[in-house]
Amino acid sequence: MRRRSESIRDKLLPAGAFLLIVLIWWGLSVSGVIPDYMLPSPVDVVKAFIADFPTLMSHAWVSIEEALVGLAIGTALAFGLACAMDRFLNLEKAVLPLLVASQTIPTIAIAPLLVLWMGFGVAPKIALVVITTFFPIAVGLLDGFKSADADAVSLLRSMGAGRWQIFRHVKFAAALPYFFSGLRISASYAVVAAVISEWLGGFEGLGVYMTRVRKAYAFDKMFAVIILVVIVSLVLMRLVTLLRAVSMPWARKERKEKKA
Amino acid sequence: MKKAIALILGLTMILAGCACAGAEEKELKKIVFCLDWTPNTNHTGVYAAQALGYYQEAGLEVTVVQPPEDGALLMCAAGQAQFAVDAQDTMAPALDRDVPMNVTAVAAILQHNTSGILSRAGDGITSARGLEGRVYATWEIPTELEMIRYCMEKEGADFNTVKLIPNYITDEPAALAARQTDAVWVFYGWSGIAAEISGVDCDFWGFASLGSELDYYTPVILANNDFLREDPETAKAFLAATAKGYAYAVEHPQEAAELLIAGDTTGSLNGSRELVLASQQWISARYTEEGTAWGRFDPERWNGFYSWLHTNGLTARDLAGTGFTNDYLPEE
Repeated sequence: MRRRSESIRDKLLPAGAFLLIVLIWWGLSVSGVIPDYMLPSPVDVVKAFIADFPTLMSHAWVSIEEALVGLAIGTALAFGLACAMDRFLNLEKAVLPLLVASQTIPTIAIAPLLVLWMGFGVAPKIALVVITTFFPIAVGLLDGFKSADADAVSLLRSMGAGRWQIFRHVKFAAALPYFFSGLRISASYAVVAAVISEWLGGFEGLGVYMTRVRKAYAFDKMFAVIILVVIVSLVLMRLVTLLRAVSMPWARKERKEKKA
Repeated sequence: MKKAIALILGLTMILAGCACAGAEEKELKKIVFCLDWTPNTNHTGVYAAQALGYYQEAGLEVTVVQPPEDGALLMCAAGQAQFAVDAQDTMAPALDRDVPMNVTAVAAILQHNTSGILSRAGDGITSARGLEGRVYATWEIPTELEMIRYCMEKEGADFNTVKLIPNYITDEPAALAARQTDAVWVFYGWSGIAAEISGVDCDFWGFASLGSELDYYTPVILANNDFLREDPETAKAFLAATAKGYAYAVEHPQEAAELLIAGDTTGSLNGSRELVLASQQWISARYTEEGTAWGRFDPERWNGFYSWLHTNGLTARDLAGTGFTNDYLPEE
């Protein structure tokens, strides 16, 4: 019984905070303290969201597709490289600093170059998503592999396990939580990366639409786009959490046991 | 941190107060002037007025700032800048709202629309008709596309045959030479001149030549409406000094261009001396029209373009008669 009231409180608190912020926002814009070109009223934003819904959706699909394809390629690449770095220590020594450095390059600076190299289609946009999403997963996995219990590795080796068997039964399992933490971060970046890449040219996508309504000074529509980006990102993160629960049933069980 | 800044500011004020006590009692009025883009020859008059002390003589302390992307009008509407550079076409959506934005165009920097379509010489895009079947790099602004459609239809050509690609081009002559696009919208005074000196053989046709309804004002100086209402004298003083700066640039293109380069703190003109000088020679002849003073709007031409926007469905309201005034310019 105690636990249920706790969980209700856990849900009520953020909902209350959210409502309070929206209420303050609404009060500020209705009273005219903040003009609509600085902050449109939440009512206008919701109206724009509804009126614009078909347009928003058609642009959203383009961005979501770029984000998902980019995230998939980024994950695959990260997985491959993390495994290779784990297997060959020299590779890790050589490549890891470069990877870290690559993350400090401002996306807004390389995005135009990607367009120059790859043209106007979806390729440069997907490339940008790959670059953004790749790093948290790769680093997470690498840490995960290292976190594998050394005694367990020794035990398996003493039992005559091969490199592949050790990897599969110990290292991979140990790395999974790290992998999902990385994937969650990457998923939250993926949509934003797709939107940013679309600022630089293209005819479709939430980023293109955002630029268009900004130039028309239609701020209610611009905020509607922002809200949609937030929703899509949250859904994507939630999907990662679900995927994690499905792929690591033991983690759920352990947590329950801990709680009990 | 804040305390330290306050302390430094306080000390500076005391020192400044000591230094000029008795010499000059009058305090300078602070004006923020927001550019539309990196400094270029559209802005020369402001840089000349700054360098030659016209603003100081008028009791003004002018700070020139750069906007966030497409943000000059917003900075001005929000009161972060008293004046900003924009253009009649891009300010239309800001006026076409339930509550129009808090800005008014108070001076025309150039008397005519010097923009048009630049293409490789030999491709035959010497008029709107030549765009048929060609690649055009677009910013995807509705007014931009409608103007091209309108010009092509005027010449009996079909706009739907034009292949549109996104425009992210920064060096138009180079992009044409590299065949990234067949045609691109430019302002002749900068990119057209750049093509001339870069040796890329180009054709150009201007929108103003296709009808006075397309000869709108670009660029213009905007002012914040609250500022205009509360302090019209300062607004007039600023525009008078700015007009003097542009008059100087008309008389002395070479010297004015040097002042622009020297005054550019952004470094964006570094290495472009030849372009700036050539552009200045061309544009200095276009700040004023024969016999008229700098900055004046011809209401007929201003309204003609805004009516054209409305007739072609680009604005929900007919904006003719709104958005500009000659009241703050010096008397002729």
